[in-house]
Amino acid sequence: MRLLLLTICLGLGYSGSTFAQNATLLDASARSVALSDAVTATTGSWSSTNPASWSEITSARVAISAGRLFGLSELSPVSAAALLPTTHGTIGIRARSYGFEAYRQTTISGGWAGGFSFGTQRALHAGVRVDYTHIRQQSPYGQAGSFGLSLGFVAPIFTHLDVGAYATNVNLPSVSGNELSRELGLAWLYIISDNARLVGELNKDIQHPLSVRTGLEWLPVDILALRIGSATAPFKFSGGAGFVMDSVQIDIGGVHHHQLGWSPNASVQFSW
Amino acid sequence: MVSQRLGAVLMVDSTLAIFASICLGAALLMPHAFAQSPPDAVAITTVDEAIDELLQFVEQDEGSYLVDELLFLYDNPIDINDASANEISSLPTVSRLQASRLASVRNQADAPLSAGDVLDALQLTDAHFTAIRPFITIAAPKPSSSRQKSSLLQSWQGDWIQRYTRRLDLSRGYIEEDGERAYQGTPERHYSRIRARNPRAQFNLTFDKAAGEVLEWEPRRRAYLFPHQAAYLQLNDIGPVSSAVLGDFSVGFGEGLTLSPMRMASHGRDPFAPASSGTSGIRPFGSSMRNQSFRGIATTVDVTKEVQLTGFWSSTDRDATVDSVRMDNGYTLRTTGPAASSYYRTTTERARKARLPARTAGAAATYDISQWQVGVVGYHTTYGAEIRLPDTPHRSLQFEGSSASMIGFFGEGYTEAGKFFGEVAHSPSRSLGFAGGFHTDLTRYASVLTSLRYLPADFDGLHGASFTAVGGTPQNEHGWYTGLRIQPHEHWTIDAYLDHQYFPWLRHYFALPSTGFDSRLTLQYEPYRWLTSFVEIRYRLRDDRYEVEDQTGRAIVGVRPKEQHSLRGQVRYQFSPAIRVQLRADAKRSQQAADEAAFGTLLYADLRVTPQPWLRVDQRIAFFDADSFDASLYAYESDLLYSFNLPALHRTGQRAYLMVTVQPLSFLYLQAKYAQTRYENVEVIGSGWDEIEGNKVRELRMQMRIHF
Repeated sequence: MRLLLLTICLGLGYSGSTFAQNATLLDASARSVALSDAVTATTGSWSSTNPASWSEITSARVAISAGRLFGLSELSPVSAAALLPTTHGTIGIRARSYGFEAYRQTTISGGWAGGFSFGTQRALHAGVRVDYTHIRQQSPYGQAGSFGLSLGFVAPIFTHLDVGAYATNVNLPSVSGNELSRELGLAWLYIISDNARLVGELNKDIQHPLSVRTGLEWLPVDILALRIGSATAPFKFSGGAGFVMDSVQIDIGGVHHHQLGWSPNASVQFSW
Repeated sequence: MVSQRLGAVLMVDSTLAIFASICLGAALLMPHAFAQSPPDAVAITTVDEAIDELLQFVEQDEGSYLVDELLFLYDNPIDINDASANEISSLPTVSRLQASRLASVRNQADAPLSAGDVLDALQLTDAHFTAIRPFITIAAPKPSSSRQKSSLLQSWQGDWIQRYTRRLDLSRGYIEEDGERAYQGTPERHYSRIRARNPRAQFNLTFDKAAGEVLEWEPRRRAYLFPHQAAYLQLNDIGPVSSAVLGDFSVGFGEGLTLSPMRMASHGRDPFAPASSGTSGIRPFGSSMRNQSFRGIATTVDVTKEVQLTGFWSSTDRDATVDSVRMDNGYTLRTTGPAASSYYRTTTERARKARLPARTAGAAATYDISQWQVGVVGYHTTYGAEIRLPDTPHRSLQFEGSSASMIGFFGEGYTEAGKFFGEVAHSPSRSLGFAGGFHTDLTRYASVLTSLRYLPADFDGLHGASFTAVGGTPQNEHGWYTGLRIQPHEHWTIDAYLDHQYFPWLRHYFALPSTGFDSRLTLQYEPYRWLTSFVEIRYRLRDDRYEVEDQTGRAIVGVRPKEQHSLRGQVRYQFSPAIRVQLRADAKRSQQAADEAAFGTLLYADLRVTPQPWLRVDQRIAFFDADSFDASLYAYESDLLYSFNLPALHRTGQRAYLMVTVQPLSFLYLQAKYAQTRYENVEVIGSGWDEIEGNKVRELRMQMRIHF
């Protein structure tokens, strides 16, 4: 069992395994889990893979998130983030970790995102994030770490439509000779109405087939958001809800893999 | 096996999902598109930007010839208020019907046409018109004598281009094995080009040493000799001589069956591609890819206002292989296409260089009246030795002998019904070939082209190139092409074509006659100059070779249909004059008969940043995943000026490039590009002498251009 878990963890950490196709679950908040990680063309989000998503954060916020992949306690990612808007964009830090005594992967990230207008009436949001990924394995393997650079942008083309793109680990980092996974995502956000939005993304992990992700978020009342989503390669569907009470936002979400089962997640976010 | 099937099912799901996503994306762009006012005007200022913009509307499999053509047009923009319909149609993406319609509107107008009139007559979208704008001028007509009044010695300007490119990862050909290495030269490519021009003349010198070739010291001339050289001097408007070229040139008349410049027209995004060629006359030839050009003298004389005569004489030594089997003074003419243009890297390749003297004399006469033109073109070529081809069946109907003559009759006309065009030609082996068609406007919003080509297997012309499904020599292909363009709204364009082909004789190593079918449907949405997008579906069915063993182990060769489906979506967004982003998604499926299907996907994101007028940075990151070469995906890349780069991406990997263009002084342009293709799970890339150990191919490309 420990060997199996170690194999899964290694697969999630590096890019060369089929398990790595679920690696984004490790990096997700409950909201993005519920929307099948198709949230990368949105701004004002703390958990998106797209570094530019930190742009347009209007108030300081901290957030924590915890999940359990496929019901395995050893695969319980925990993440926390703190974002601070400044006059020159948003700066933030984020940390996430998962694993058990034989294997643990921790990533600490720091980044910046901001909007530019370049003399126009519009904005182009860009972001950069540096991730330090540290992997510790049981003796005799030891531990090692590496820095990765991720870049992205979000462009509001029309008032109702944003497109975005991002690339992770563009500097091709590796840990002990094993390359960390690299992703390229092209995404869009369509604002259907004041209380409904549709998100989508074409996502390619370097080692795996193209994944198409979509999600729908609907706010029947101001304090409640209902979310559904789906993704291919492999096929998954997801759902969840979010509750906003003044400065607190609580999200729950889950994704169902047709063979591996459910992966629930919950997040809490405070802003002031 | 189960996992493979599951994978295939998921890939099909992915392809369908991509289709749904791209269609959804296109639909999302639509409803509120007009809610936002157009932002900052987008100006195309430099030649490479202009070429880059126009090439997005072409996206042809073979586009390198276009760069040279576009450079010529950039230097010699077509004066819409003065040019003939033929000259206007030399603009890529402008069909002969559009050109004739524009000429007709102009001829009937009381005043010179404005840019708006031209846009209306051409019926192009705003973005498309913006792309061709740098290649045309819209001014009042000049007095007929104004060009002759300018002096040959005045208003000269020119460019000196020096290029250095090199792959940083050396292939097997550069590595010594048993004390020898296959490629005799160094891995760098050195390219020099000097051009000078004024309104009545232009001059060009091109020197090129490809990677692996030798830069040889010639003691008698006390200079290094480049393996590839091209030079020309062109003079215009000297009395009745409208154009004369001394040096390297190309000649094109009619549909190109008899004589054609290096146009490898095949299926592209432009549905009217079969009607895009036409008479170009004599053109100076500055490219180092010389296998379709002539070297000598060519001139065109205006005998009367309606009659033009062209004559040329060429003497050059073609590459050829001495036949090792037939020792009776026989040669085998090397018949490579422009893409594999005569490299001289290995001992064998160098031995082929300039082995076959070829003398060609040719002439053409055209008669123009109103919007009609008829003409005749022909040539006679004599080789210094008899050409004998190997006894392989697929080459048995290609030209053999020591001399060849060909003649063609062509014509085109424009009436209210539409544009007619065609050429019939008589090949050296006395075979008749035909290509022609009819292009008409069905309504104000729809235009249709239909064309036929009848090119028998023994239609073995030496200097022709016309529209075919497989590109290259117009031979061994009968086809029926129908192209359609519908513009239901000024921002929306629907392009489509269907092309049926029949190949009567062996194609490559096929054992049987074969058939093919190509189709494409493109939906373009271009609401503003700063936002263009399209979704494209392609389907290709073509017989391909297969080989199986019978019960005794003997190989049985036959043909089976191979299907290819592909889907492409793209958005190009010019945020401001300083920033442009372009996103593309591609998916392809290829399957031969009941074999397992191969899939390919490609995603890329482009960013162009122009923070200062003198500085531009182009970046791309692309992820690709193709099961086999049949599922390869292509994506045009920004490259050094004068270069065309359309890499084929297969296997699994990532390609990225960074290109910086700097203009530190008004006369100095510097470009540097670093590109890297990195493959996953491979230890060796390529094959033969081009095999590279490792999983990445890195390339450095630099260029300096001095304008004087």
